[in-house]
Parts: sequence; C-alpha cells; structure tokens
Amino acid sequence: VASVLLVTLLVRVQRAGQRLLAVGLSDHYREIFSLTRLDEAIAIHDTTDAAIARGRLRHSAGEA
Amino acid sequence: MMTASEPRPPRNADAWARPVERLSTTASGAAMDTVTGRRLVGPLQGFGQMWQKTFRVRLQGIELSPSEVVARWKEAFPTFWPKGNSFYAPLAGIAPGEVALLEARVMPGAPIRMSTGVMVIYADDESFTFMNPEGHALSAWITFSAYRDGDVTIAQAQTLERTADPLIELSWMLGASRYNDRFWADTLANLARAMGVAEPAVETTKLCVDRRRQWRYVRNIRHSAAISTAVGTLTAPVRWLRRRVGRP
Repeated sequence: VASVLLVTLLVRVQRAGQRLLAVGLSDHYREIFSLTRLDEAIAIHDTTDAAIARGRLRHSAGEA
Repeated sequence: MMTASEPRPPRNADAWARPVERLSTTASGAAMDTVTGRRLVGPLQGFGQMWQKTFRVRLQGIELSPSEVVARWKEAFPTFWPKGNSFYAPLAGIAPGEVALLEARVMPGAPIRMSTGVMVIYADDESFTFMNPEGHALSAWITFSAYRDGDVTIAQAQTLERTADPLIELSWMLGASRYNDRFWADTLANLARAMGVAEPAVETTKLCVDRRRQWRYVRNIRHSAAISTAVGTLTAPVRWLRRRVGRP
C-alpha cells in the first residue's frame, strides 16, 4: 500500500515538474527501494543538507 | 522530501525479499524459461499508461480469518487460475525471494501461451506481492491479500501496472486489457468457490494513475516474452528437423 501511495505521489510530483527525494532511510528501506527499483526515480540522500545541495546543484545546472 | 529515522528494522523485515540484480529460479515444468538472467520491472519501468486495478470478493458466510485465507491461497495458488494458464511454483513455494514460472494466454483463444514468471518480493501471513521480470506483458506489482470488513473476510488482488512495451500496449487497447481483468476476476471467483462460497461476486475497480506513456522505455520490446515465445514455438519444427537430419 505504501509503495502504491509513493508511486502516486511520484507521478503527481513529476507532472508538476518537480522531483521527489528521500532522506535518512535505514538500510532496510534502502533495500526495499533497490528491490522495487523505486530508487531509480526517487534519489536517496543521507541527510537533508545533502539532498538540498544536490537539488540546488541540479537547479543551477538546469538554469545554465 | 521524505525523511525516516529508524534504528531497528521493522517487525516485517523478514517478509521482504533481498534485492537481486538478475533472476534465477528453482521452478520447473514450464516449456521455456524466459526469466533466468532477467531483471525485475515495476510500474516505473513500463511503457504504457499506469493503472491501479483492484479485484475483491466477499467470502460471505465463511468462517475463515484473513491469515487462513492467505495461507490457503499461497498453498494452492496455481489451482485458482483460469483453465488454460499454468503457474509453476518454486520449490519453497510462495516465499520472499522465490521466482515462479508461468504460461499464460495474452488473448482469448490465442494458440500460443506466453512463457514468463514472477518474483515474490513480499510475503507475510495476510498478504503477498509479486513483481514481474523483463519480458512479461506487464511491468507491475501485484498484491494478494485478505482482510476483515465487519464479520466478513474479503479476498483481494490489487495491481499497479503499466504494459511493458508498445506491442502489448496496442494489444491492451484492442481488448487484451479486458481479458486480463477477467483473468483476475475469475481467479478470485475460483478462490471464493474453493473456500465454500456458492455464488461469488467479484467487484472490480480501475483507476488510471498516469495517462502518459513512457517513450523512453519503448525498447522494452526487445525483451518481450510474447515475441520470444512465439518465435520459439513457430521455429520448433525447424529445430526438430535439424536435429533429425544431423543425427548419425
């Protein structure tokens, strides 16, 4: 059920031209993302700062 | 952004399969193995529109708990499939990480059955989930479960799916989708009859989650089990003849 909700959220986010990032996942959830191949669409970051920095970097690259 | 902080694995951690790069199986009996060496594909890796389909049947008057229903469903899973389709369970049965083979008709009356399979990515007492390999008609997760609604136990199959490639998407638009829906409705009706329900009524709901087609996955067609099965079947007489001629 959670995976279905996550995919629905992902579709809505992509439709709005935004990206969905995941932060601070335990090894268990990282494995689930890998198994289900959710990690190909939802980038996983260790910390919020790392995710924001990555987001800014991509945003800058998009503007350049 | 989503965050989660969890020092210990959750209670159902053992119900999940471990990630795999390529599939292998202990199942046998199928005419072809088009699964070994393939990768798993979910609804994010498919080509066609994304649909969530839910099939439910009320086990009215049957005194079985959700876990008893799911235990029987796992144990005799192939017997509930509509006639003309085959499911070859792995040695360990429906358990996390196990890969089954199957042969199914994509269209009613089709002379050739598609050889493909599924991997059990999750299985606990009240539900189990399959994910499909490359080549399957659908890039999907399919969850089978049972739950209580008041005094009645409900059995449910729910898919989150995209057709895998343009050829299958076209066949889905031409009617194969309705045939596939009937496959799961018939499966649930068979399950309910086996549990003792005299006249099961299966309720079907469909929701389009994403109308867009993912053209970046158009090349999924190179894995198509429908095509490889058709080619393998049609060229079987030629291979047989070559073996006969080549025999001393």
